[in-house]
Amino acid sequence: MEQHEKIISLIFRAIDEVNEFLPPESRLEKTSETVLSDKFAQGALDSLGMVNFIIALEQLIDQEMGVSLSLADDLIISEQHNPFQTVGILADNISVLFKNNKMVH
Amino acid sequence: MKKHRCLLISDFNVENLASYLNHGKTEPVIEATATPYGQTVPSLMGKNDQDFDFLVVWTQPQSISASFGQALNFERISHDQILKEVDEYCSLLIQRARQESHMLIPSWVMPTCFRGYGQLDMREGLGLANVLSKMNIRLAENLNEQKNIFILNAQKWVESSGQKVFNPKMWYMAKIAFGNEIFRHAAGDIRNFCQAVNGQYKKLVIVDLDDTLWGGILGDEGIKNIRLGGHDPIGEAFVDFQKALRALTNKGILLGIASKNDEALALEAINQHPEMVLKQKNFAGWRINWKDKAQNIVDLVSELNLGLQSVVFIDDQPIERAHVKETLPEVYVPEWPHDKMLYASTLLGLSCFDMPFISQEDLNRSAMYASEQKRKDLKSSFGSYDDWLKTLDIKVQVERMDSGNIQRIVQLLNKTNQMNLTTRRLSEEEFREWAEIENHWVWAIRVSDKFGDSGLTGIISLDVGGNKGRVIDFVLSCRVMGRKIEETMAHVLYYYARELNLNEIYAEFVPTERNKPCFDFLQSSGFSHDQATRQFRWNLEKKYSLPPSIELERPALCYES
Repeated sequence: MEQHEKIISLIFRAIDEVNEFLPPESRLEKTSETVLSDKFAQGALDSLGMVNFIIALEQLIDQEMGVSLSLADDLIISEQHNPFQTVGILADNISVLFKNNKMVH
Repeated sequence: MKKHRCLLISDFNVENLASYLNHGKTEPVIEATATPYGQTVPSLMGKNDQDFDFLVVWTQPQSISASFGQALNFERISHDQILKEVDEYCSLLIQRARQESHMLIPSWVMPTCFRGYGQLDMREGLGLANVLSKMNIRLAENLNEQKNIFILNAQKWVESSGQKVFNPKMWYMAKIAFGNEIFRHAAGDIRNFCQAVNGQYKKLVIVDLDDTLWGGILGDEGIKNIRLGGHDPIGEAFVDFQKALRALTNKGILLGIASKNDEALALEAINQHPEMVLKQKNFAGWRINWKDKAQNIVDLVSELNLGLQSVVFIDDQPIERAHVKETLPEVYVPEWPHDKMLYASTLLGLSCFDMPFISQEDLNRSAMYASEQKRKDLKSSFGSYDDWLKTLDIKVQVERMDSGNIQRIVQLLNKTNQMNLTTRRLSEEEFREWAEIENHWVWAIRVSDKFGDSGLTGIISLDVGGNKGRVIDFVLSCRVMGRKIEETMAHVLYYYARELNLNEIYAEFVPTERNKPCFDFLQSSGFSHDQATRQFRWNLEKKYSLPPSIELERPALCYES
């Protein structure tokens, strides 16, 4: 499995974990377009949901890929750029982190 | 479906626990609300003005004992001072418990990454692990008399959560003291509590025989060749599994058998095999034949006067498990390991047997069912039912409600479904408050016969208004139903109502899915019945006789001054 696909599959597993906390009508779908974090979009995770999601994803990446990340630190949110906006955007940003080797082994 | 409303009070963020409770996929339905974290004391001192069914109060040890916080920094603190602070915290809990039905208190744990004093950490007067153990013991001792407070063993959740038990990031990012795995386990135990406190814990384990209670196929291999005990790891594992099953009977859980086998041969193996731990007398009943297992389970459960929701079914065959699971969804069929050496540990790990109270009746239940078997044997040798009843020497003893029997009364009230007039469910505190109201009367019924003591098995209560008495509770355990105890209870009501100078008693039947036996009794009781109001009435000018097969002992209406 290519690295990008692997990252997507781990994001989906993190979504499974976070969905356990959510009422059925708010559960996230496992697609690249799924919005994770967007203050203007409906259905995105709230701040506690994002904490749970980020920590679940970090643990999965550590466990499955042997890489220790600190996503909240490594991916900077700015006015123009939200690296956590959708599943696809997040996977792209994590792939870039891997490519630039900007993570702690 | 009943919704259990729960308030979570904590010194850390417990929103994730609330979410696990609120969005669980299985029953019971829980609606959990978390108070703002770090507000433990103000929250405890507040009032239950939203009518929560129970509270969970989860704290970190350093937040209830400032001295323990100092000890965590390796300051030399007197352990007595720490325990004094635990006492103060317990006073708060006890005070709050007076206005609650139930409170759950997870025990205190320390982060696994914290080594404390290392090899000195259990040393008396120094170690943090040492003082934390004492704090938990002190908590348990101080709250021991509070029957509505339950201390949950959080250490068990820590041990079950592996590496995911603590995550510092959760603390720094959201003030969550534990990893989510521990909340998952906590939510499981809280759900169990809700089931258990409503009497929905499991009371009967039905097991298969071949490759479940012993190794091999009895019919093919013969008694001598089944794998049980001996110098054989699999044989030893089966012995341990049987020991674990027998241990459950000491908690009041009944055992039964549903097996496709030859009955005579199977009973011979059970009684004759030298390594059998479980003997025939340990089983409350069995169905050993070639019929459908689901049907056998239904028959056996009916014989034992239990409901299917009380049953756990254990079978090594996935196909039999799947069949029972599909045919009888109320029966709990745990996934069972293929590896025989995991049988005992799997059984011991099941949480479905957790019960909030253990009464003497629970402890004697297996013996009582063995007595029931003897009664049935005797019954079959008599022609007339009344003749048979007379031979049983049934004694019914009436008691007033007091501090010694209220716990059992409430337990019976909350778990009896069949012979139950109104099926009202109340906590001990609520029932006590109700009983203390003027003109409310409660009597408990104890039943024994020549085969044994069935204990406190009935409740009757009366609400007197003017010259009429309304029967509020008419509750009888299914264990003693059908032995004229129902008629005796009606006679006792008649007797006390006359003592109270009433003209009439009446009962309003509240139907549920399961209390038709109560309706049937009332219909055949001689009480007049008004179908429109579902009321049953008895004019007290007419005598309600005591059945001739019953010897009755009853106290005076009031205590003698």
